[in-house]
Amino acid sequence: MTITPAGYPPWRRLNTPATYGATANKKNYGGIGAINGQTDIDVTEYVAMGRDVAAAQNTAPWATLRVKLNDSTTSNPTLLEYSDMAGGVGPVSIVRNADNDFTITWTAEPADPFGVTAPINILGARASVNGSTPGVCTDERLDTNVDGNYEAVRIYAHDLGVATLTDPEISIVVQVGQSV
Amino acid sequence: MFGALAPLPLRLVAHKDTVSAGQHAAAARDVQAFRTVDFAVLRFTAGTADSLSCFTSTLGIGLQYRPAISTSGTGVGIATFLAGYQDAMDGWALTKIIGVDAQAGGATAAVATPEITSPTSVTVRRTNVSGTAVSGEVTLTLTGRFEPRRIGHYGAALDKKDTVTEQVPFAYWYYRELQAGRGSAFQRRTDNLYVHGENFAIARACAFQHRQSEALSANSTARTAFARLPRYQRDFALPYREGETTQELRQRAAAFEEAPRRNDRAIIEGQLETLLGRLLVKVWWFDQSTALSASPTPTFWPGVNPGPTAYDLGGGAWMSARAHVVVEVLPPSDVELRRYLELLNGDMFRLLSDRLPDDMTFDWSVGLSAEDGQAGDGFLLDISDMDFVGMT
Repeated sequence: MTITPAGYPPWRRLNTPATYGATANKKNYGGIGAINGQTDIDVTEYVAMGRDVAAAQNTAPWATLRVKLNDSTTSNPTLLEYSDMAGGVGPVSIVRNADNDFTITWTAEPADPFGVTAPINILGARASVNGSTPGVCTDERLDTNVDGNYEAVRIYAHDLGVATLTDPEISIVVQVGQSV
Repeated sequence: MFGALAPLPLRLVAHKDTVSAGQHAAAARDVQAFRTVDFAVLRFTAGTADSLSCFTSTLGIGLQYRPAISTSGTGVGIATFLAGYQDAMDGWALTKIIGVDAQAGGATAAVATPEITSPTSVTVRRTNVSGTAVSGEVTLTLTGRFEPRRIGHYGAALDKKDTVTEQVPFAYWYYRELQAGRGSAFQRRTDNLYVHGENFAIARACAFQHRQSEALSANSTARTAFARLPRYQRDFALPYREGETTQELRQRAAAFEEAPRRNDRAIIEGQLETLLGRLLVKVWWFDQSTALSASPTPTFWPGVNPGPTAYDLGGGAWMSARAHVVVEVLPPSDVELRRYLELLNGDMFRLLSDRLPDDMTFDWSVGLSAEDGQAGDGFLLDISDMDFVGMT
């Protein structure tokens, strides 16, 4: 029998301690605590774990990746390293818009390892220019399928007027959240 | 795993249908590592008040946890959290921002520079690369709110192990016995709700009694106790420690109860090793073989080498290295200083005070030798008034 986890995939940002069975009114059967302190997990200890898992998954980044731009050949950026909450399948596309300007798009509703899907809603992307040439990045969120959630992010790499950025590597951490 | 036949507390079992001690330890280890996760991530427009557009936080789900966004001019955004929040479990924690990262949004080159102005507030200034203030979107990533956790908070401990008594839920066996015992006089099909429900309720009640008898046995020693731990704490005069988990208290009580009641060197060193773990570098026992006429250095002896008057024990007796033990320990690099000092000045003091012969004194120190993998200070810190601060 296939298990379906309770709650939502973590990038949905809707799981609470109760998702993990940790509720304030949880109690030990008979109210006598652990039978054997060395072999048992008391309800308060289990609830503490549920509380902290619920808290931590709220700010874990959706994805972290590193790309290398290919502006010199007017090609799309190359994905060098990648990891995400859903298991690391990767974005749908990484498309070059112009020099030092590209867009990363994910599937609107990725699936977790149990096959449960949920929409992503990108909050922002922390991006840094790697290498010896100074530069900064800015980001824009895009709702490409106009469903109210952001599933794409456009990254701009800017030089600081010291030297031109040529095919730089960019490190990116993508966060998701709830729209206000 | 919390089926009706095996209700909480969770009994650790190495069986595919439940959770083993090793699996639970892994979960506890990994969850406590979450202490470094970001506290909150938010996006808003610097230069515009009430402009929060997206938000997520370890505090919980819901807009009640969002910060207030204000501004004091072009390109300036101020995010202010409440002083404290109640989490989803009605726990209460104070806000303490310790780190922040800022990223400017938009298509034009811009830099966002954050400044932590109080434990609850961050100001971010968004400028172009020339330093001119420009209003626009920023993303703030804040760290610092997550309270320190240890594996004991989740019921894990180094001595945790699988149960050998309830590998199959007690209630299951009672349920089967009730089915068998009643035989064909009762409907044995489990879809007969009345008979099933009655058997089930009786089985649970029997299992509860079975568990209680085991709990009585388990509480007879500190190592396996739970409900009786406060009694062990009182009986052994174990000092109360703020924030100590049940598992940590259980292990502390067990270590005290199981400690051999002898004071030879091997036993004392073994107990120090158990107490201090990897913090222990070496136990220094000074020369005991030299004849009394040639006392080892340092010896404070009236008329020969009086030493500081603070070491005068009265009645013509002074301290000697012969009757002194120094415990060399590692400095508290990854241990909270409060817990480090509790361990050394509380627990170790009590242990050595109890175990050493009455004519012996003791002290602890760091950096005496290179045996901790670091270069020593080149001198032996013996009977010393130097405190920890003085040595670092």
